Amino acid sequence: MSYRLIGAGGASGLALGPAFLRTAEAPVDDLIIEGQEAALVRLVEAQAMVANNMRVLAERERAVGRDDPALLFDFLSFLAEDTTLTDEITRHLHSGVPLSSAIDSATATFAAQIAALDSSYHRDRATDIAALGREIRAALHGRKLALPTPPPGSILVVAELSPSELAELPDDLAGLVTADGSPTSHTTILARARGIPTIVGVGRAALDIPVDAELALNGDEQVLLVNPEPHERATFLAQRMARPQVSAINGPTQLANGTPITLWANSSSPDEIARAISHGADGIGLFRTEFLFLERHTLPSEEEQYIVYRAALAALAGRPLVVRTLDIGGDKPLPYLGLPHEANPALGLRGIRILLHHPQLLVAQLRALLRAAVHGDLRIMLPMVANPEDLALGRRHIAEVAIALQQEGIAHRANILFGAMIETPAAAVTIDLLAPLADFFSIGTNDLSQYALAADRTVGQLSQRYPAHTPSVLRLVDIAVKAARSANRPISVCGELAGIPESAAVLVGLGIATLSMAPSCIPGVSTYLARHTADELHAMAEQALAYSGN
Amino acid sequence: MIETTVTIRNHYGLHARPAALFYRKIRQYRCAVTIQNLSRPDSAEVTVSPLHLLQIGVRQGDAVRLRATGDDADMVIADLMTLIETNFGD
Repeated sequence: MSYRLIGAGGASGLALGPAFLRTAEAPVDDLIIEGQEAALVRLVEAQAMVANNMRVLAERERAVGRDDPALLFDFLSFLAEDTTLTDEITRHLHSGVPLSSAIDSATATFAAQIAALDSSYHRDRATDIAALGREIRAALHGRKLALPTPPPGSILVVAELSPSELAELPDDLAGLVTADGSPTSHTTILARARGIPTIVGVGRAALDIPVDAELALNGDEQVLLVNPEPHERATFLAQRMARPQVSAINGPTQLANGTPITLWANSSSPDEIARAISHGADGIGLFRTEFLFLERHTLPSEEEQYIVYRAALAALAGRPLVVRTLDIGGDKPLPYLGLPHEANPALGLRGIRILLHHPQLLVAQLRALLRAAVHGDLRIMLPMVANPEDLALGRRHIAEVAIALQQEGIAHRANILFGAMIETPAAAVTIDLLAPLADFFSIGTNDLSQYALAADRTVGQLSQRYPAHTPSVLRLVDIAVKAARSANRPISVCGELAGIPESAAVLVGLGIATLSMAPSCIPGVSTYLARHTADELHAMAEQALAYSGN
Repeated sequence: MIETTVTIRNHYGLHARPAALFYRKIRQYRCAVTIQNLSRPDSAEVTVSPLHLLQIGVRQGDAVRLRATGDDADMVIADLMTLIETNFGD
């Protein structure tokens, strides 16, 4: 029987191969060293050896043009020789414990301190410190931390992996699965840089994968299929074939019969825009702005926001930038706002509803957006719209902000395209009522399916049992598309569904001409769509509306 | 002694990559540089070392105070300011 495991993050790519399990901790024998002075000498030697190993890795990465991984190894080499670390280990040594225990205790202390910080980027570094402790212990024995070499074409399954272990993996490894790890951990970042299809953060279930298992790893969607059935295997191989080898697409996307399709990218920070364009994005269809507000103590100023939006427009060089106003709420709290704790955040004060409590949030953001709009094709959309009053409120704020900027003599553009996210079933079935107040619509399929199916999509079992690609959700999309067409308003899709080739095909079959997705999904969707005619996609859509096949 | 206070604008704050660039710059000079994260009330002034940089958890928007003593103290501070103001080349 096959089964699925879902990861927390990963590196893109599809891999099929035998599992190579290395889930047990390698035993580390205690080294008996007579006298604390001798132990200290051994420690400093071991630290120097680790630092040197890291420098070698840094140079190797730099030689092949991978500058970010090179800098990471630079940092690890500095960290290995840090006298702050030596002092802490020495302190433990003086309490009479063996050297290896002193290393463990000291690194555990630092890791715990760093793990307690309120920044996920810093928290991820705690695992680096723990890995460094293991490196230094191995160096005491004159060894490097190294895994047994996985056979060519296999998929390595490990509890966790240090940056150096990852750097030493052979090029012929097919894929990587880790129980620990997050999207911003160094394992993920290095695996991406090396182009190894990877899923991290699978959890303890990774450790129960049978020794002789075959694995189908989808790093794009972070889904691992253990012991795929013959038909699942065939589907997976077809998916892999459909995936273009090159990371960029050539020319604009069109269907086999010549119908043009616009592919946009979703982006959560200006840094990602260049990557989106290199993957073939015609614009940014969903620019999330939460990053400006999270992990800080105070609200970002209007000026700070203006600089970011302007930089994003500059990177896009004339392509459209659809900015979603702040979508924050009980599940992503901002401590400095003092939002009430909600028992049911998905149905609470989020998206446009935050305005009811904090209108100044939207005013500052709208001012920055209208000012930046002078520099490019900036459009604004409101999240979580449930009725026409929500949109009217947003419109009124834009008008007021424009008047204020005019009076203050500040350069801005008031005739900005203004749209609504369609992510509540209420909005999906009342497009005709929203249309007089909106210039465009964008369907957020993630929330739309969560609300339509009453299934929290962060609960793994539920998201598998109630996928978004299902007649109920697709019928809501169908209703919205038809109403938008009658009202002569453009409508696009910016949810995860848009990035899955088969689902994107059905959406196009329903009449969607613009899809916005994660940059890495663009080549696959473009290639898939180009193989089908509009008539074929329409037939696929009709079938999907009747029965999902799932 | 040269002292300056500056806000870190870098998206991910001061860790890994920016921290590597920051520390590498200081190593080029023969002077002692300390840092204090003013945005964390419980954070003490510490000498700049890789571990200390992680411990003080500098996030985007945090204000830090830098102090340098020794030869070329003014130059190391100027260099660090350039790094910070250019967002570590991001």
